[in-house]
Amino acid sequence: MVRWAEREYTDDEILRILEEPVREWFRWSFETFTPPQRYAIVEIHKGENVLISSPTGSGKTLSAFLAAINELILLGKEGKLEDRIYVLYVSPLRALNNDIRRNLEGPLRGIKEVAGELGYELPEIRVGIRTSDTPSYQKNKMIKKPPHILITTPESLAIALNAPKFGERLKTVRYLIIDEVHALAENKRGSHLMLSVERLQEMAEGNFIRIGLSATIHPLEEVAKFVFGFNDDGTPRSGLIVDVSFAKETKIKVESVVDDLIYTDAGTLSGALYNRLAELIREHRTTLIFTNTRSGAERVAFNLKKRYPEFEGLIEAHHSSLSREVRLDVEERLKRGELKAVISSTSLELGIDIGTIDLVILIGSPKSVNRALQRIGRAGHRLHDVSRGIILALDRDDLVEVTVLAHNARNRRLDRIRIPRNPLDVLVQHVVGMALNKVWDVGEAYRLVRRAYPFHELPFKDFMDVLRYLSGGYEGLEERKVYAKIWLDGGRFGRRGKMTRVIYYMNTGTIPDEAKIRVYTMDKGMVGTIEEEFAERLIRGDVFVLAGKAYEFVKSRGNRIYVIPREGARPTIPSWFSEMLPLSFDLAVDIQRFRGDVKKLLGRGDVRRWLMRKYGIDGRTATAIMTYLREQARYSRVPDDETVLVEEVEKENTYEYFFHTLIGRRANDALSRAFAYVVGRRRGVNVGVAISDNGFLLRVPKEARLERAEIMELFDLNDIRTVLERALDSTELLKRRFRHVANRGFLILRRYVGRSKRPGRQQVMAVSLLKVLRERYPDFPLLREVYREIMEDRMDVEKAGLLLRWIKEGKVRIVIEHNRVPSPFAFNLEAIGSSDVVLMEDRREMIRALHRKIMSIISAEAEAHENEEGPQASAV
Amino acid sequence: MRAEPLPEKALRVGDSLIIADLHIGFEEAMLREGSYVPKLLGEVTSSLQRLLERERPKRLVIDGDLKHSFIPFRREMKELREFLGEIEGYTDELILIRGNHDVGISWIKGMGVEVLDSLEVGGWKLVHGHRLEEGERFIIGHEHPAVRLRDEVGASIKVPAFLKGENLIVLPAFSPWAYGNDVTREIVSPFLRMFDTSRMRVLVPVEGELLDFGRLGELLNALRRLSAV
Repeated sequence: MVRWAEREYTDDEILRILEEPVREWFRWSFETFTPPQRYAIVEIHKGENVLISSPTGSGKTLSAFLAAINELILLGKEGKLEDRIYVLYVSPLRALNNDIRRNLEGPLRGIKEVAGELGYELPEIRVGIRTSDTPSYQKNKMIKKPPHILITTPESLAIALNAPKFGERLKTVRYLIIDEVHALAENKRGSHLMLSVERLQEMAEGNFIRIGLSATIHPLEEVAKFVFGFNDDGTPRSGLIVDVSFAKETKIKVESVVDDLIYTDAGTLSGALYNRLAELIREHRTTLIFTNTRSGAERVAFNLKKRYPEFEGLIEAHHSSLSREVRLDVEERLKRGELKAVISSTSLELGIDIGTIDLVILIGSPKSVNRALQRIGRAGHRLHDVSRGIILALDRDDLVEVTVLAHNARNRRLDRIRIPRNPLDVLVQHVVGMALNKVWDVGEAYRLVRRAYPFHELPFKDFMDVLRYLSGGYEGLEERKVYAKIWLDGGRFGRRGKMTRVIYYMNTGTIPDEAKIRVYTMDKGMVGTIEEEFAERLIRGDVFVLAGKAYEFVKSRGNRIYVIPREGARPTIPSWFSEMLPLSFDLAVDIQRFRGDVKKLLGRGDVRRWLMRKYGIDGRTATAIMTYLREQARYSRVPDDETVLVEEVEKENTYEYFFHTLIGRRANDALSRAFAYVVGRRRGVNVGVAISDNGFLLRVPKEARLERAEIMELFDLNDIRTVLERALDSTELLKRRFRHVANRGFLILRRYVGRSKRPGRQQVMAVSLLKVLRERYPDFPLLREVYREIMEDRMDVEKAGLLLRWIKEGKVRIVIEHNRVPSPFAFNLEAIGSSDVVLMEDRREMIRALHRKIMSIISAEAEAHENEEGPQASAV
Repeated sequence: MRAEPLPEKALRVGDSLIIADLHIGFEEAMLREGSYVPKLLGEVTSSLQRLLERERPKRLVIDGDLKHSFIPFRREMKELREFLGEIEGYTDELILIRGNHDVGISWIKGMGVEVLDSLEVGGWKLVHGHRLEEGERFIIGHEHPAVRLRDEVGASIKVPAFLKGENLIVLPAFSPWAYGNDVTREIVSPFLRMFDTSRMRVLVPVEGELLDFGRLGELLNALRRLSAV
């Protein structure tokens, strides 16, 4: 059973279980145990699985390791310490492994010294790191003389499980520590790791103790089951949840950098932003600034240095695109207190000791309460320090959003995470890995797989389909099964093919190859990156907007395109954004309610005071929010928890429909595609889609203008899941995601016989395969997986359906308006441009329709041309 | 003589039917790189058979790249033999204009295929197109030309196309695997650098019909107009 840890042990109780040198070292180094240590150490010592959720700087690492170190010291004292791996530590952050090693080697040295003073000699306890960076001679050394404590990553663990000699070495593990669980649970890296862990448990000599470490995350019961796994009888493995995530005090402030976020031009706005940042940096000793993108981090660092030469050498950027050396250097200088400020995207969100930060600034909404707490928690290193954070809003949607977000953070209203279920592409990798180990009985393997949380409810049929695919059972995909990776016969399966081991080593892992296209000016200056689908749509002479500036497309070379800046030029194609951090549904619904509450009070005199008091914002911020809502109300109306507003706006070649459904990006992602599909099918047209957290936009050709009743009918959609699945068939999203799934499922190999293939090339293969599979094997496991991944992990089809139900039940009503220009609430959505297109199902019809449109433009131009030239010609 | 492009990605010149870029053996080559791809050769063969039955040309000319791999291997040879066997007897003559992929292919002469570097047909010179040749009016393959079309809502689709000028005709690839090279972006064949592509007509074959999208230059202008925001 999974239980909450209720007993907080005293210092004496904890010290009593510790060996003398450990005890004395602890007394000498620390005053007392921290909260997570009080709850966890004794329980781990007793053999309990434990999930610890606590803030940074609360002694989390030692809570996890101390019981294990104590046991190693005991063994050492008794002369029983062998050359074998006792403790396995897995972290998704390879960059942090060195820090963890340092954080362990310090105490180990200390304990050894204390032991020496106490008069006995302890053997050395070795800490080793094994990742993809580890040179092979070191890996070989590890086989001969394994470290007692091994630090690794999920990917390296999966490979180690299949390394013939090193795999043997892992069988002796007694403690398994998984760090940064919050960064794993929600994605396929986590699904992949938990299957590795069950495979390791199956190989291991005894049951190891599982210790999970996590930042603020919700719901912890599910996360605990995720870490602990299940017994064969279907019950969760027992263990304890230690929740001390609220042990540290947090102060969050929201600020608007200017009074008026709409009518301030971009130049003034960024001037005000940098001015405020500089002020805050000067007022504090060390400031950590978070942006939501890497390029954003670069831009902020660059501008601060340029505008304020006083910061030269005192401000640096830190993000994952920088080289390892640069990052390490920044981290060191940060720790030594030599930097005034560091600007990061996500790289400093997790892990590492970054020294004393006295202020964290978030530029723009962090989109989730958990992330806000995680980032702000980086301030105030010690447990009793207060973490101070300021969120700077850059536009009015942001301002409303962060006001509610900060309010929720203060009230500890966390976002729920969603753990992926039954990702079949991940299963494929492990089935291959398992087959490399030995011959399996199908039932035995299925039992093992279901012990892992993500696969606990895996239907047997799905498992068999994966075996069938891997054994070459989908005939016609290949003729002679030469590329089958397993054999399946008489209820047993095993490895097949000489190359299978190599394929597994080279292609295991779940993170897809990024296919970002870099944008350069003709003199080779980098401007930023754009998405592949957008880059391939560009034709010579196109003008598009990137990071607020207009550029003309000149040419493309490989993964780069070249452009010329064209300030003020009118874009010839809307920009394209499809990947952004999503706002959670829970938070989105709270914002709906907030809009509703403020709307009702707008006429009253004390609304400003009410806002300031209830949401802890200053007068300027309150005024900005009120002005925003008032303007929207004056021009149109404020959509809220009782109203969905649909606006129609006529554009040069299209009609645009803004659906103000504030349900978060993931749910809007689902709803917009389903609606686009219905419209497209009814009218026989392609439908463009743009999506944000606050709503979505459908773009239809002029001839397909929607009637009021047609719009109302969209909300009557009965089976959104089925419609969405059909809609996905005609999207770019499906094509791209299928490449990722095909890569993970070893259908299209990323690397093979020493070569890695360009994502563009893989994409071509993926599109062809997708077509054939859909026609011939609609039930193919990786095909089912791509729909599942999109609808459940990336989108939130369930919550989209929930909104439709609310509408049906009359809780939410629809208002449709025609506006000459979009209302203030639609500005941000309009600025997004494009996110995807739901194409017509009939490809031939689509090309024909395009032909008609293009020819009418060409002939109109030719006519205009003739009219211009006509009189001149006659004059000659 | 008039050269008539057909919706089946073939060109008719008098008694001759011309196709290019079949890349037989592509799937096997992909499997060797570790990619699991379905075989489409059967479909290629039967569509060609249907076309030959309808057109009844005296001569079939394959304008280069009948096969794919640069390294000869047994299964590719087997597929080639099967393919040639299937289309045998439909025409009096079967000619291959050697393409850059057609290495180690002389053995097919034994199956009655004539292998040449170029051929004159009705006032046109047929070459594969991977290197420049002397002459005035050419029909080439090699380029796998395609254009990317897009509309006012952001839809985008890449379609194989014929490029047809006064003195140059470029055939689309006959292979269903050739995804096509977007000629508005990058040009492969040296021939296309010699001619003004913006004045060439773009003819798009779509299931049984051939859509004329006008001259490439005009087409690009129209596409920009259509997507304007």
